[in-house]
Amino acid sequence: MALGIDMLKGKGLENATPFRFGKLGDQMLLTNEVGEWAVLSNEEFRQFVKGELPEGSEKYEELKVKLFYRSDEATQQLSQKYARKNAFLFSGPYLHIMILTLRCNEVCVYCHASRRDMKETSYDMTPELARVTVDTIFETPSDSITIEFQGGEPLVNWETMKFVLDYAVEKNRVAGKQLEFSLVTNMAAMTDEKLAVLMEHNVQICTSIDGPKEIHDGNRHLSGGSSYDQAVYWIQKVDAAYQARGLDPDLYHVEALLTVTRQTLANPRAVVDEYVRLGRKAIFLRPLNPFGFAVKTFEKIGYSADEFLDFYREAMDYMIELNKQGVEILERTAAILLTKILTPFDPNYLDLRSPCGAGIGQVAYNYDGTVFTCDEGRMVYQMGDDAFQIGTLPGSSYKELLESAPVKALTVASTLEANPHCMECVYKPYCGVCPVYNYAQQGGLFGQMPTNTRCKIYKAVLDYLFGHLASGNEDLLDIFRKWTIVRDRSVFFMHD
Amino acid sequence: MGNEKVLQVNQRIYPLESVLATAFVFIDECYVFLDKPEKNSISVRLRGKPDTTPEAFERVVGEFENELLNQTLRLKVSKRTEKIRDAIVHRALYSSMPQSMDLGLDDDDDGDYLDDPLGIAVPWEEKYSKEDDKEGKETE
Amino acid sequence: MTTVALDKRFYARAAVDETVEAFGHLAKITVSTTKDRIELSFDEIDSEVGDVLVDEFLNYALATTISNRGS
Repeated sequence: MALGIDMLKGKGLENATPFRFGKLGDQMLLTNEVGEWAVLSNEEFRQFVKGELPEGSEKYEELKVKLFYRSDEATQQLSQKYARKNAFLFSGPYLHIMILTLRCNEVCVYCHASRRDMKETSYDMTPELARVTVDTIFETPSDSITIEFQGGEPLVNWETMKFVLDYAVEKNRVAGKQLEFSLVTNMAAMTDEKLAVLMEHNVQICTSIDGPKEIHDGNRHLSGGSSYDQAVYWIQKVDAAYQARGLDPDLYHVEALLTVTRQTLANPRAVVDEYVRLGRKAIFLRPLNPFGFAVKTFEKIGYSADEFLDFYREAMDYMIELNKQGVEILERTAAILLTKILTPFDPNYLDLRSPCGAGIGQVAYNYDGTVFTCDEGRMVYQMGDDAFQIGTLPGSSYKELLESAPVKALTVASTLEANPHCMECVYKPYCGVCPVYNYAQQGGLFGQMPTNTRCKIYKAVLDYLFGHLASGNEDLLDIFRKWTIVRDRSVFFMHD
Repeated sequence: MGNEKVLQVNQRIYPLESVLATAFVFIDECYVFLDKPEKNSISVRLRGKPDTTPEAFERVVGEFENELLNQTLRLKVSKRTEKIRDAIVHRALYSSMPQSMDLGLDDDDDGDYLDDPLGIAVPWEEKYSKEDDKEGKETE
Repeated sequence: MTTVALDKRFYARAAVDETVEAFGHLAKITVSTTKDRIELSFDEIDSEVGDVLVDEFLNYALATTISNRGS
């Protein structure tokens, strides 16, 4: 039965807690502020809204347990759950991205405008600037600090990276924070000596694998060699090094990142197979972001949201099929969303929270001392627009950085309650907007969600996940629950 | 014009907010034009985009009418549950806030958290509101 | 020349101005206002875009008005 005008006169809302709803196939999905959800037939939904769902019926009890019915107990529980889901609001920035250099030893088809040749050493962050940067980072009130090294290729500025690793550890002897390091590298400049230092500092290493060798090498050109061979060689060595330190290889291994280009779209299964073959447990299927491409480049490697989604769904179907056969492989975006959907926790993924992490969850420190709300803001800067610059080091105090106009503007613009479309969206409890993306794609921080590609993609991914969840298939639910398990990261903390 | 339909929406049933929210949802699907020929009624003209087939357009029109109802119900839910939502959020945030919460910022700013000297967060509507009711003629 | 009159209850002048800025290179667009209406006239429409320009313009203006209301 379709919804009817009679529903507008129902009494049921007097007994309901705040909820959102949206069509899910021929059913209705209900969610609430803390991420609880239920799938109702249209008739059940009509009865719920009109206050006519029989007390004691299965659906009534489900909705009651999931806190869709009003009571003092429900209000109290909703408050507690809301606090837990939004715990990230009460800490300062924890992710500090240091762009150690713009130089890179590879040339990638999707690389942003910022890449510089290897001989251009003036695009390196100096150790002196790195010291000031680390001093600023340690002013965060957050108990956790993750320093992420990015570039260009960060390993080519080894002197500064080594300095930061040692200096941050030294500073933390007094600060006593949960200090972690991560490195995003193409591995081509890795050596045994560097690896030994990275292991000594418990650095988590991420690299790129764009799929099978021919796709990877086609995307990423390494002068005089194969970028794929380099990456795979070092993935195995780093994994072995983790193992040598007594870490469970199922949980601790090099994370590989995939950049999906037009060339990848036709090969979802091949990409998944490649990751499984390399022993990876996760694939992060993300569309290209709109920063820094020439129109010609995008025509060559870009694609529409629908094309990406076809690829995504096929890859997901295949991963589910493999999981059913006992192969452990998960999709990272799905895992983040499923953690929000199926657990009481929020994984604090900075791109999918409200407000987003720009400035209040992460800060990006450029090689030249310019400081940005986030890495996306830094990419916009490399395109010649400093809208998201929040200061310069040395010079800007921590207070000035966090109180800067862009941080405030992005916080307001990424608060979903301020967005007319997001506010009423059934997926609001699980989602987040990126104002920098909106700015780059649509010319305004708030964006227009009905025509926003990022919104379209996340909605479709959530449709896909809820479509499966609504099926009630227990085997599938078990797989999805496994994907939400968060690994213990404490082994990566740097202690004295 | 082939793919075109005009709906007369009764504002006593579907308030303006619902009509606008519905129009917003369909901006990517079809062309929407609003007018108000008489009191308590909004005229919504839907026009198919160039590559829309008549069948697809019919489906869009049907979905538009359904969405109108959904948006009105959402508005109603939002209004009826507003107080309890505020209570939940306030209680949650109050209970979670550390006693000595210090983000490293002074709290003597006297509520200037929306300061925006660059005007990044200022909607166009506000920025140019002075011109809103001005009668005049400009050419681009 | 094509003319359209927009009801100010649905379309904000600032949003219309923003739209004119976005579409101005595709046609000569004249804007004038009365107490209740924003009157638009489109002239010299880019032949490659054709009739669809006015509809696209109206969509953009409406979406911008609604976006700005929310934000």
